[in-house]
Amino acid sequence: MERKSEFNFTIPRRQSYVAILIIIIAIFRRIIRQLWPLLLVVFLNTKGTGSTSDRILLVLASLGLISGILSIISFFKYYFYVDEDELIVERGIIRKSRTSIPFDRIQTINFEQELVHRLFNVAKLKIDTAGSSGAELSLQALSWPMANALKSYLLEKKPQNKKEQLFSDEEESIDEVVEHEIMKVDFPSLLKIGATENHLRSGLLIIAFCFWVYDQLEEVGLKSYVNDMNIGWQSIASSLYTMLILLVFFGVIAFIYSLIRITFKYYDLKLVREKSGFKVSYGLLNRKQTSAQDTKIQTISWAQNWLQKKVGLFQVFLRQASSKEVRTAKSISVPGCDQRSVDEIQQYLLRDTDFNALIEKTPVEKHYFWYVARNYTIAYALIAGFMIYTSSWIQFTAASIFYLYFIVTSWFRYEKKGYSLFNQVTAIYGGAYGAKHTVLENHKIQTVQLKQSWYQLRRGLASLEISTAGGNITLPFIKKETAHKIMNYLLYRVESSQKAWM
Amino acid sequence: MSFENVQINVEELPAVESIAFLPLEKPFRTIGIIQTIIFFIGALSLVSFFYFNADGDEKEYFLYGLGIIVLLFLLRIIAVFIGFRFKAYALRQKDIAFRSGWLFRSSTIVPFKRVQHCEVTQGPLSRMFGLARLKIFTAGGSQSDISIPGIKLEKAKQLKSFILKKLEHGEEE
Repeated sequence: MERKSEFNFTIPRRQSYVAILIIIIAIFRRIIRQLWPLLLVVFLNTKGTGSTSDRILLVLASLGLISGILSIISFFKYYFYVDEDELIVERGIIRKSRTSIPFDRIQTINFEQELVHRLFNVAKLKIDTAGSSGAELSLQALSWPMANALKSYLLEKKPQNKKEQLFSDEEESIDEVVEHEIMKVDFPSLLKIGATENHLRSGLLIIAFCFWVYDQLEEVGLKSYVNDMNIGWQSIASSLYTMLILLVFFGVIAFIYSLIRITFKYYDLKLVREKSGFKVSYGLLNRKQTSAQDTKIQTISWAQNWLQKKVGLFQVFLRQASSKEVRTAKSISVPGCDQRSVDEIQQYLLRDTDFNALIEKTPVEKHYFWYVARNYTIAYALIAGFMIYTSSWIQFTAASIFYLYFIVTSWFRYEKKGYSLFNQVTAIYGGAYGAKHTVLENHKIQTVQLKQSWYQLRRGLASLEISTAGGNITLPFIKKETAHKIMNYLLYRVESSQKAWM
Repeated sequence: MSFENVQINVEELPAVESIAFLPLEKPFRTIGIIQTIIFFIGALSLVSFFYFNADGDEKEYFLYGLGIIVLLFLLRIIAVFIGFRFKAYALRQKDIAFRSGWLFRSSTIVPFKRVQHCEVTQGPLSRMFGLARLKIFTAGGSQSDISIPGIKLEKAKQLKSFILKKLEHGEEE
């Protein structure tokens, strides 16, 4: 409590001086990202036309200098302060602008620390606000104690919704005063997370990156350099044996890339239970700290792929209500949770929930598989027919393998699909080779939608789509009567509930 | 607040399946037809522009193009007619429902409590016929929002204020 009085936020103040450095670095980074192929040309172009390269460098340098000076001036013209129940930011060199954020519109306050921030012990404060404009304010650099103080000051001042107050009265007494660590990832578990990543995706990312680099180089006319390096490819690819070696090599690269990426991103990952929300922090060079309040969390999902299933790891997603523009950014994802942490997270969020099952775990109708299988088969028949006609046997084999894979996958997907309906919660189970489950509280539902394709209509089936402010879930291919019953029940739950959805 | 935990008989809940839906205004279908005609006149004039600039050999391809355009036009007109029959809305005490679609049917129900805001919009054609579109937005994203076309402007405004009143009232409860 005493710490808060250290800072009087009603006095207009500037960010930490480190902000200048951070802004300049950001500008340089943007320049380099946009113009790196051009810069490469300048540096590679040693023979002749030296004057052009010099001129380009000169232009770049002066651009950098001007933006540097501008950012310094704008730093000194940037003030933030608290006025009654608003956070106000004033900025602008020639045209002054004043942004005010009423406390009650603040959704979440998150910290981010890049390497520079960490060197100087400052943090970037990101404030998300509700509203269709998707406004987001970020203070580039505040000293760590000040950032913390501002966060708790804003959260404390933020007026609670009356309805929420009504319900949180009881919770207050149960709530733990101290923070409780739900899970913490040490180095061995970090490697485990990395090793069980989706390596196929890592591989595709690498390929995409290579193509992008190639494309960029081509654009500035460096293609000849690349082509020189490329000469050998044709002859290598012709041999199946070397292809195999190449594939293994590529797999190893993808694996190592996954490991490195995960280590950098999720180093020292911690999930902490706070007073009425969760806080997750992670990162080796760039540290991020994100928090989610219970009332804002709309759906809880936990997923695992085939590898993660073998070692018993889950990735947990807590999806928050958000304005449309920043939808994806608002989901907190925590990899490397074991079953115990998943249960613990659920217990915190659903502790007062009545788990009286109205519909026990029920599989969906088999037509969920038949419908997809039918569509794949039609597509396959057309493609395969064409390939047989043109005697392209290699393509035919490839298409057949893909077809089989898709059919098998949709069969597993059907087998895993299921749902259950509880008094206060709806749960959906899924996955193909792994698993993905989602749970949502019935009073947080926004709308319910019944969908019927022609195929479903003829067989008395329907899909039920349930929307929340944090994403949708679908109960696919269930009996129409059941869908109606669930719809009636969920609407009853929403319409009779006194609880606020946020 | 008194604590209640009455058992719910799921069979006796208000049933979605027995909602009596209200059809849209007839002129809405006419608007759909006019829009289709305008669009295809545009498409036709574009095709004929290229036709008169084309060489002799290329000209016969345009006949196929013309055939496809006429076919699409007829299909679109049929779709307008059938689609109109399946578009309907209904108001209940605590929610509003909208259904649409022929091959892919969907009915969406939005509880008044969850409405973020309402909008009444009118295009130039619908203004001529005195019709409007009522858009209802929720926090569930664009997929779950509903937009009811082809209702009388007066009615749309009434519905809007009705929903907003429900919204305010609900908040006080």
